[in-house]
Amino acid sequence: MMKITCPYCGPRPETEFRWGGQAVTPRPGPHDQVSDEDWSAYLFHRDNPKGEMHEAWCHEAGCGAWFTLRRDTLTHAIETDPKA
Amino acid sequence: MSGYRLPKGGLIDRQTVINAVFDGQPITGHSGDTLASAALASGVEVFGRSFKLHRPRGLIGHGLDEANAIVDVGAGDAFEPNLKATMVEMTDGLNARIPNAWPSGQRDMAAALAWFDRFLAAGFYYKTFKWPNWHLFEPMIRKMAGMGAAPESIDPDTYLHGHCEVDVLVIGAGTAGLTCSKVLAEAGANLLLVDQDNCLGGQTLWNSDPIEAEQPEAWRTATLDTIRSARRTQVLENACAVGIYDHGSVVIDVAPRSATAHRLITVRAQSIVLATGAIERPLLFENNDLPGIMLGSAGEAYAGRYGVASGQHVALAGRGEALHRRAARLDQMGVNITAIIDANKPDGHTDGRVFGGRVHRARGDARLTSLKLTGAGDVDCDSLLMTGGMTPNIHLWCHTGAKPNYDPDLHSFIADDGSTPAWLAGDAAARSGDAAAEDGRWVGYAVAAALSLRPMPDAPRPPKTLTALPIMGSPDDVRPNRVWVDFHNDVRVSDLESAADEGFVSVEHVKRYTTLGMATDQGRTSNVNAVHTLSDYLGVTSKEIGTTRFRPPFKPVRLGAMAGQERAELLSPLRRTAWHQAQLAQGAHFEDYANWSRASAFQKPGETVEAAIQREAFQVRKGVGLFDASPLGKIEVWGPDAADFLNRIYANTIKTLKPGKCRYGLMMSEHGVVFDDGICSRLSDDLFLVGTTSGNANRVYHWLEEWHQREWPELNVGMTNVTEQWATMAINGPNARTLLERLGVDGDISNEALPHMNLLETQITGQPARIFRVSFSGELCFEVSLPAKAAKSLWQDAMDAGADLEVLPFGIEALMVMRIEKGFLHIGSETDGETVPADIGFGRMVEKKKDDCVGRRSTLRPDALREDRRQMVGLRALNTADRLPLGAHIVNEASQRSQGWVSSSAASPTLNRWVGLAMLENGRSRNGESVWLYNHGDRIKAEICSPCALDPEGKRLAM
Repeated sequence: MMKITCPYCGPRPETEFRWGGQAVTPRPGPHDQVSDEDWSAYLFHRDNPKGEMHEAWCHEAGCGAWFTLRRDTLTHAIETDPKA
Repeated sequence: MSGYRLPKGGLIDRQTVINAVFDGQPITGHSGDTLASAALASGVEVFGRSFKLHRPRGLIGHGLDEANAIVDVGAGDAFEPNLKATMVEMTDGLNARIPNAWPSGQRDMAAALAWFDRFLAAGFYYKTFKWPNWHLFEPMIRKMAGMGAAPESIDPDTYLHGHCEVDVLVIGAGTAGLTCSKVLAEAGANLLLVDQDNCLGGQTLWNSDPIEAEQPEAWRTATLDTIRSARRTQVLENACAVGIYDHGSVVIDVAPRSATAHRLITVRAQSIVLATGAIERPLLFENNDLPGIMLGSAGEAYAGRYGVASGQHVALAGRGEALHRRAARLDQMGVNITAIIDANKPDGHTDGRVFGGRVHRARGDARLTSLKLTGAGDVDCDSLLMTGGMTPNIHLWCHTGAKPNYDPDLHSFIADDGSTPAWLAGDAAARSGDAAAEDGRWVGYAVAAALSLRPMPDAPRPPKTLTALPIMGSPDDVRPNRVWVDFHNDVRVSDLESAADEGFVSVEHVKRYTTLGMATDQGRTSNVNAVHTLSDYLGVTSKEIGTTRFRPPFKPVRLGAMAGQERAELLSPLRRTAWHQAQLAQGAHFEDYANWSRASAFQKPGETVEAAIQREAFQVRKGVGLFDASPLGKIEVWGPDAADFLNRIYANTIKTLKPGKCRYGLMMSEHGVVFDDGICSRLSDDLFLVGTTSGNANRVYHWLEEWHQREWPELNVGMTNVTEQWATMAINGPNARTLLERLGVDGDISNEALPHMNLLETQITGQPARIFRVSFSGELCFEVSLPAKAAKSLWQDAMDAGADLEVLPFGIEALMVMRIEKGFLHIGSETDGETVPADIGFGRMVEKKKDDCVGRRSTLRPDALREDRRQMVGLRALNTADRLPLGAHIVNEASQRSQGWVSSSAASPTLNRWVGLAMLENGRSRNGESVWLYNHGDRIKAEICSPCALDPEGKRLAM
């Protein structure tokens, strides 16, 4: 079980958090000016690195805040970004 | 009778006599015995039957290394299958049985299988039972190969989960674990020392060699005293570390061997020390699985710790100094050693009781009687102790993802010093005896220095000294199908060779094909021998073969321990509304919906549930009905940007909603799929109440938070889930207004002042109240919300006030009948993971919206615009006596293909016929068409019609 540092509450066990996938996925818009390709890329295409990944996590069973952290998908080494 | 109790020795209390039964045979033991040691002392020879071939098996180990003595104990609630007899504490009245044997372990009929063993090679089942298919044979084969049966009653034991954070976790309280802990305790570390045994000390409990020139018992007692007396130290016995997980978390199963209370503790440690010892390897020779043949460490442990000799005439086999030292210790304990077979001496050499060469074959029928050696000569004995060399126990270290290396000098897979996420110390780090004590101390210093508790002394780490013996492969000219490598899963040298012949080269593939190392002992005793056998056969080095990955748990963990307190009613606490008791008194039949206990119907005495539902659905449209709508999701969204935010969330336009007004709202996921619906009300310019379906309240709340925080953090808006803060009563029916007026509403609720889809914030008998004029039944309806804590009396007040208005309580089922009559969709009935708004008739509503919103772009996908999508329609049976079965498929007669299904249906008491809703391909353009419904072999003819079967003009709503 990973230990994740919530920028507001400090280190807490992984079970208090919800994973929200890749952190930065700019939302294309407005809806009537987005191509099918761009929209499907936004909906479905994500990086799948072996190594460092920026991820969104929510301290759902705690303060409820969403934040981003860098996790190494191979070693689980984690670094939380400061309060955004 | 082979094993017996020695006249002296052992850490047992000979004054206490304990009686138990092992496989039908009465056995006697003492306090301090395990089931295995007591049975061995009582003369038991057969401790189990092998997994596949049902060969008789004796003890091979003395702890978690045991592979043969698997027993079921207890009965009824206390029944527990598949325990290692070496891990069961001897208690009075204990009844242990050998599971996969009939009629008993001593005389197992299935042992006849051994005659056919040539057919039972690796892969036999896969190759043989493939026609017509494996699943036909699987149950019988599983039974034959079976372990103990699963218990049938509910486990009465209690299980708790615990958590703790420490500076250092030391796993294993043997020589190295104790010296390491002592250093850390003295340095003031916050230390947790755990050991899976019920007695601390590891090998010092039976090995009589002095440690650092002290007698083991005195050394152990003094060291433990120092550790225990330190202020920040905690020591746990019966605590087995079963897995190491991410970020230094270790799961420890604390299970006293005869207790009914268990704990599963997750420890988070800054440093972890694995002083987990080493496991002895068996020797490979013909019939090496005969009862009477066990590991040397086990033979020594039985003698030293339990005062039990493994046989009357005991032989030792192995090589080198370790072998002779062991013989000397056993002599001292009073064990009758009749032969020492030393492979360092040439074949044929004899010198008193010392014989040169190796064991070629064991002889005996169901138990060992003699050994044939590689040189000339036989040795008569009833017990053989195998000294095959030690394998560092690095299972837990491998859980971290680290890969061990084969060290050809030490003949073992070992962990690298240094680059490890956890420290290994002592035998686990290939340092044994006094070196283990010194190594534990050195690791203690290193960890203390890493924690800045004390400086690291300038001393090198002691060198590796493991008494490593070259792995002795099976002697030449033996029959490989008589040499067992994995005792637990019945895997022989011949199975490994045939796996190699068939092209399984990767050790991981060999493991899965032969099941080697896949038993609950995780290949503790078999792994290294298997790798060596393969490397020998394939002519490559053991390093090239590599080892399989050890995975958690290190030993079997009870399912109850994993569940902890999260079971039964605590798994998912049930919520009850303010009016639960009031409804119970009225005969409510409660069911659980999304963790809410809700009334499905109110049965009168002698009435069936079906009749109650029909009566309620009929009566509400005549008089007035009370419905407990408290579980409906209620989320307050507030702030200057609330309207803008919700307009981006809902599929339809929300920003034009005026304060005091309500509007139906539909939510889509970003994929354009219908996600939730409900009434959105604007209480003031910057306060909205988002209504959600009952089951989705929490999900929608978190979803709103996610959109706000991740996508539009610039919007000044906040949200609060107030579902449980408000109790909501939906008053439905033509008499609803009269009833509500009688309840003391402060304000005008006439049709002119409060028309349909309007709200009023007011008071009822002094309590704040929110009244929403919305309806899911198609009747005049007021949803009245009061603070949940102040609402309790409202239910009975309303019943009393409506006595002359034909008032009745009604449940969810009747509400469902009424909404189907009206053709209102229900999320989850009409919708699934593919439904877009257009499918359920909201295409225009979304199209008309000018602004972007969640999922908007996805409604423009070519697939979402397909014309042959399934669309919501109404159904009526052509023969009004026919019912419209829920889930029936609408089948095209020509193509015999399903084009959709009945998504909701009910008998309508008001219309005297069945009403139904369906999702049907291209359904909206097929109004008036006749279709066939297929249901369990029946065919019913139905007509496609408008979803709304009752009051299409909505006159009843506008009363």
